Amino acid sequence: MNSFKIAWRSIQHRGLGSLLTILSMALGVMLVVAVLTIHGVVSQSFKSNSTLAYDVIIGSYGSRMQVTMNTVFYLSSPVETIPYEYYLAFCDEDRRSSQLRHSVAWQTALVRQQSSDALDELAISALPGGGMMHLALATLDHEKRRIEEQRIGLNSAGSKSYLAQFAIPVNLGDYLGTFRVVGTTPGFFEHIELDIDTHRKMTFSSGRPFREFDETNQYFEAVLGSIVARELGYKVGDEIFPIHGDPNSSGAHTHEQGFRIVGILDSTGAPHDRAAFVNLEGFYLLDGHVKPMDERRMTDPFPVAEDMPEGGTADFPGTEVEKADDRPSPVLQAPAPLPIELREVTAVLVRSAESEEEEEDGFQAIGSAYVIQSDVDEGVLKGELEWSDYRPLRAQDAAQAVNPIMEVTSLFENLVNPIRWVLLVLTIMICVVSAISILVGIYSSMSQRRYEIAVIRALGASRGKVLMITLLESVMLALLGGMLGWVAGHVLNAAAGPLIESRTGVSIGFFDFAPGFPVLSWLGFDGLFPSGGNGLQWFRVSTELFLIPGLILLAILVGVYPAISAYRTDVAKSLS
Amino acid sequence: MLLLTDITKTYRQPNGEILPILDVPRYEVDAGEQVALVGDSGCGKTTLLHIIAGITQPTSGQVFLDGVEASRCGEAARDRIRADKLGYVFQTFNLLPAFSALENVLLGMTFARGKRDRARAQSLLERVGLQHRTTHKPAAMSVGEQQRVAVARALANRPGLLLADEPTANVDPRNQQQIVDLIRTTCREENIALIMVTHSQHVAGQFARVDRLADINRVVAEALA
Repeated sequence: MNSFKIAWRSIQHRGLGSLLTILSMALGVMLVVAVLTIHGVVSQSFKSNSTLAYDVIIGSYGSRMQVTMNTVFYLSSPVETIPYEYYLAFCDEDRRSSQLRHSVAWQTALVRQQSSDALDELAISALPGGGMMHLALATLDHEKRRIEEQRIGLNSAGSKSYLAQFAIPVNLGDYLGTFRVVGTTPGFFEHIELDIDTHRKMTFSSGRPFREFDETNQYFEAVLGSIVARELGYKVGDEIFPIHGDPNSSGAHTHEQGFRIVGILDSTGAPHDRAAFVNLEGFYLLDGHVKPMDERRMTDPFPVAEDMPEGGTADFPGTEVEKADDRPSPVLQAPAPLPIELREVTAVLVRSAESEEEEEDGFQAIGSAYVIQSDVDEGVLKGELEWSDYRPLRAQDAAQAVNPIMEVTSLFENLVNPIRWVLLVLTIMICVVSAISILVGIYSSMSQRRYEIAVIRALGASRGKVLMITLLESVMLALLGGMLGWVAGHVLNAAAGPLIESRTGVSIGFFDFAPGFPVLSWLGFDGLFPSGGNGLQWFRVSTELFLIPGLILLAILVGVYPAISAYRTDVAKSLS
Repeated sequence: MLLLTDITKTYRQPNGEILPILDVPRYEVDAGEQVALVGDSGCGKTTLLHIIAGITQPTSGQVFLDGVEASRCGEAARDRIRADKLGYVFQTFNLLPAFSALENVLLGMTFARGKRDRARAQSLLERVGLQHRTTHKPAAMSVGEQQRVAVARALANRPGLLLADEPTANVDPRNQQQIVDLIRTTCREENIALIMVTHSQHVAGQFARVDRLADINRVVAEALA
């Protein structure tokens, strides 16, 4: 019979006592596992969400953290908006020119409408005076030409699109229940990645991404995150009515215009699960979403389709460019999209451009991101926004560029990590207390043990052997408790998973382990591979695995005293 | 098999006085020989057995077991000799409560060199008539059965010498003779030397050689004189 069996029999013999000791150990380990995995999964999810696809957020000037919380995690209170021009500066040129063409069309229609009102008045007041009529028409022509000239050539002016691989506008401020409504473009589903290594994109459990324009639903299509759909019981084909403003505030009201749900996302394990995405074009058309314009232009409600020139932008030869998008000319479909003059965005998500020459070390990518940041933050862009109606006194009055990775990292280092450490220290202390219960358990049965040890010694076991057996018993109690606690910890994670997911958008299941730790690298073995860039960083062991040596060490520490006591047992005295 | 020369054992009392327990000039048991050792309580019988078994070190003198001077060995070596060459049947059986009958017998050979033989443990239990009780724990067995398990355990490592310390004292009369017969027969069959300490004249009377501790131990002899 080996020592393991002898130790195991001893544990069995003290059934209830052993069980209580194991349970106490299991509770401690369960808490450690829960803290490790939950923290690990949450931090991984936080970090991966901030490193996905975009590396610059252009948002309103103020708290960088709030901009990040809003746009990356859809948390915190909504921030101010920034001029739409920031989006135009980074979006691709086709889209930009198509939107500028639309702007020309809109402005011309506006002028024409104003002029025709004026003409009507003239016709009434100076009927015989054909000269006045002529003058008025000439003014209209002149104004039309002025607008054209202003817009022509803007296709390239102030464009920073060469710095960006893509730019996605995001508008926040509306709610669906307690969930955030995110107004964005279909590009969101095309570009945003859930995993930077595998380039995993969002997938749909049903339906499809919304379109910029749809024959049936026009601009009013929506896609729901998995949790939103589940909790609010929506399915594809249903209509949602966003609430304008914070649902908890008194000023909130439900928009009359609804959005048709055309798609529901698969669970992403990311904050996207807790958002309702609507087509930005439709979002702009909701009441209260029009940018307050200065009175010079906002004399009338902006024109609707029937006021727009037939044939849309083709009416304006000067602005003719290749039709970049295949969407049907919206002016014929009613209602017209909101002109760019009336638009603003909450944030623009930008993926900075990478240079092919220096792609290997990634310096260029960092370079573009840096250029974007300094252009936005230090006012370079301001000068180039001269073409627009937007005139901030300082660039900072309007926008700032935020590096979400840095923000999330600092959030982690300053807030989440200290909490993690406090939790870890507390749970480790629980483990130590549980381990002491092993000591108490073994030691309190020492008088009975002495007799058993004496018998075993009389049968020829050495002192070393009984020391080993006692230590083994302690280690086995700790490991059994550890195993039970480990399983319990993961069961706890799985059980709390839905709650955590509903609160944070991060999903945790039974098989989610704490993230890896580069053991060999940490131990300094990198030096063995002088050529390797990352050394042994790739060799990672889940921090949960450190529980095993940790528990063994702890068990040996608390087992030493009873073991020495066993070692010193006086056989002759204990037998009598 | 066993030779003791000039063995003394003394204890220091709390008041500093030296209390002599044993003084055995010479004591010898041959291989396969069966000896009954009789004497009153407190005359050092158990101490003598402990010294032979290496559990207790003598104050002076030599213990030879199978030609090896065990008393000169370190404790670890004495443990090893005890595991290999000795069997011990206690008055109080000293079965381990956590282990089944079979496991208790297996424990008897666990610490000996290369003697882990489950079949032998099984056959020993058969021999003591407990083949149907192998999986029972001591608490589920009668006193007589417990002592029979203890006998099987003491024989498990094929010892050269079996020490039996009043093996029948705590056993009901009906089982006493059975235990004695069991020990003696097995020792004879396996050529194991036997020292059986006993109070019982009836038991001692069955042995060809009966040693009185009063004759061997000069401490007792002097006290009686």
